[in-house]
This record gives sequence, C-alpha cells and structure tokens, in this order.
Amino acid sequence: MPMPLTETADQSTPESFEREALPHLDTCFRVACRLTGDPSRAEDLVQETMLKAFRAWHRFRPGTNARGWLLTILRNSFINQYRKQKREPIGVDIDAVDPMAIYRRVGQTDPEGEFFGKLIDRKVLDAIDKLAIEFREVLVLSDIEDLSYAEISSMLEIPIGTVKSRLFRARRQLQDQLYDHAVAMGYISPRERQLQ
Amino acid sequence: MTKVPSTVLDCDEALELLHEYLKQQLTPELAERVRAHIEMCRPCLSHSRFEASYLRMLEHKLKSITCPPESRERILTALHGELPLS
Ligand SMILES: [Zn+2]
Repeated sequence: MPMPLTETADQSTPESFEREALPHLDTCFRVACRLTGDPSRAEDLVQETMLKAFRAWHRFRPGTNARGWLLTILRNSFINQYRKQKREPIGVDIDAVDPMAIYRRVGQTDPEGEFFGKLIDRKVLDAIDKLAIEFREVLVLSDIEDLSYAEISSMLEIPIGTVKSRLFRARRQLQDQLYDHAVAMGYISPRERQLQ
Repeated sequence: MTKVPSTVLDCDEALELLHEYLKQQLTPELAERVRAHIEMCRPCLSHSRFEASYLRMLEHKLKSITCPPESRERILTALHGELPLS
C-alpha cells in the first residue's frame, strides 16, 4: 500500500511524539530509578531524556522501536553523568561464569525458588541497586523490561556474548544476595536445609 | 543472534536458552526444542521452575513501579516549554 507523501511530512510532529514516545514514560522512569538508585535523580534523568528525544524526534523512524530508542538516550545520558562523577572506566573484564552455580546452591533447599515470593519489595530493590553498574543495567533491561539480548547488545554497543555473560553474572550475584537474606530471615528454615 | 544447535539439545544448550525461553523470546522452533529437553530432563525442569519463580518475582515487584503523578506533571511541563502538546 503506497503511503501518501503528506504522511512523511507529518511524521515528526508533537502529536506523533506524544503518541509514540510518551507511553514509555513509566518504563523510562523505572529504568532511571534503578540506574540512579534515587527517584528524584530518576525524574531529572527522564526529563533530560524526553527533552533530548523530542529535539531529535525528526531522526526517529516512525513505526520502529521507540522504547529502545528512548532507553538508549536515557542510558547514554546516565553513563555520561556517571563517568564525570566517578572518573572510573566502565566495562570491567568479565570471565565466563557457570550459569548453574546459584541454582546448585539453592536448589537443594528450595528447588522451586519459593523464597523469591516471600521477599519484601525494598530488599529486592536494594539488592539490585548494589550490583555494579555494568551488571545492573543488563539485568534491568533484560529481566525487568524484557528487552532481547540483541536489543541490549545494540543499545550498549557490546557483543551478544558479553550481554549474556554479564547477565549470568548479574543474576547469580542478585540471587546469591537474596538467598542469603532469605536464610537470615528464616524464609528458608535451617531444618529444611539439614534434611537435604 | 543465538546460534541454533542442529541436534537434540543437551543440558548446557538448554540452560543457555532458558531465560529467553521463559520470556518467550525464542523462535517457535527453538522454543519447542527447549521445551522438549526440559520435559524429559528432571534437573533442567527443576532449574526452569526456579528461574521462572525468580522472573515472576521481579515482574511482580518491579513492573508495578510507575512514574509518580507529580514527576510526570513536571516532566510534561518541561516538554510543554518545547512543544505545543495537546
Ligand atoms: Zn537437562
């Protein structure tokens, strides 16, 4: 079906921005909260993202992935600020990890991972926020926002293999922390552990 | 892209694809092969339930977080400075 030419001229309007970009505000806010660890800094980051996105809206191709485009702007803005503040390079070398490791440890005591359901929200957020930034960002994008490995790879400009190895490591660290907490809180009873 | 093993999946291959399988991001063909492996392999079935429980927990606890109305208001006001939104 041929598109009328007027359609092209109409594509980068405030209306199309409102229609295609604004519905992703909550997603942007959620990701910003986890990157910054602070709701008011998250608000600033989302505002900066939305303003940059609107100014560059004529470069967005309508019908493509607006969420990925916005999150890329958000993540790059965050990393630029982060680099200025911390002055330390991002992107540590990560060795291969055994994806079975944490399940092997937990599996004997709670094979179906029921303890996950008993955790309080604040504890889970704190545990995520403790992860190093390069692990936290892949975990948030993949396991919370459901971006594919390919999307994350192009957003972060790292190979898919690196996305996967960071994710395995991030999940292991997070699950490890949460399991220790669950044991300390008695969500997994010591008796249950001894029986195995 | 994820390489597609040509023969029956072994445990390592199935586990490497596990999260994409649980999040329904695999092609139907590949998803079917992961499912077939998990169905006949008790340790991998158990592992998949564990990881599903982990993902469900994140979904419940985090997906419900939304931008607070006051923040949304301030962001929209800043945008209005740039553009005539309806
Ligand atoms: Zn198996």
